Amino acid sequence: MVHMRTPWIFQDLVEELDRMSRNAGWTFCGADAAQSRLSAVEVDGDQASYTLDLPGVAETDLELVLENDRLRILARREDLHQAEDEVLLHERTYGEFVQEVKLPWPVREEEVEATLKQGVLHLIMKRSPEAGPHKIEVNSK
Amino acid sequence: MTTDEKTVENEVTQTESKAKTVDKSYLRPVTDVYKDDDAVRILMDVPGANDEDIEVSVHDGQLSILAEVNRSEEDVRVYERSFRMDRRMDTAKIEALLQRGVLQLRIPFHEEARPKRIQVRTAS
Repeated sequence: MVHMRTPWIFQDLVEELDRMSRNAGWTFCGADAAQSRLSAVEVDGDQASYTLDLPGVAETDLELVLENDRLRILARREDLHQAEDEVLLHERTYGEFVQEVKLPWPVREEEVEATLKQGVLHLIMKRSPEAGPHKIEVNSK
Repeated sequence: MTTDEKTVENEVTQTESKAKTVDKSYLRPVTDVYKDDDAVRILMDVPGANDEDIEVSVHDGQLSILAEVNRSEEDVRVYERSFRMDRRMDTAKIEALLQRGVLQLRIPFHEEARPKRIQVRTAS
């Protein structure tokens, strides 16, 4: 719910924004939830890549945790509005955000490449050798 | 394969080929708008955009923001949104800053439109 006060000098602007805000949805991905694309892990042989939009997140506010074939992304976005500001439109989300990603296999932790550029996190991960198919001995009785 | 089947196959191949060439998504970027005594500030998420990808323009009192971001050869995202400006806003002095995929616009009010404190003097 967007709370709006309408000072008379802003009547025109507020009317326009109000019309637009009716379709606003939750998002952390830079666009309406209905329009944004959910990221998927892309696999190419023994390499997997993953991209996630994190606009406004600083490197220092980002944490990646690998646990077997699970990747957890913890991010925090700062609220940039000042206490004295009047809020005319509020669609962006602030605070802490967690995304858990299921990987196709466990990855080599020491070889994960992570870059954060212009609000987009891009990860390249390599399959751990231990993750490959292995034979299970069958004992005959 | 008959001639008709070949034609159909060619058409299908061509259609798929075109679809792969450009996959443009038109998105309405999420936005915050704040106001204080001096200006209106607009914060808009445009992840992946560089300076040169963004066009901010004002025409007939309408502020338009357009960002075309090439995420990959097959994934182009177009972020587009417009706002009608109140005439008290000084659109000639708009400041724009792009940081971490967030576009920040500051649109000041004309000097005469800003609130002024009137000094009250006690009559002697």
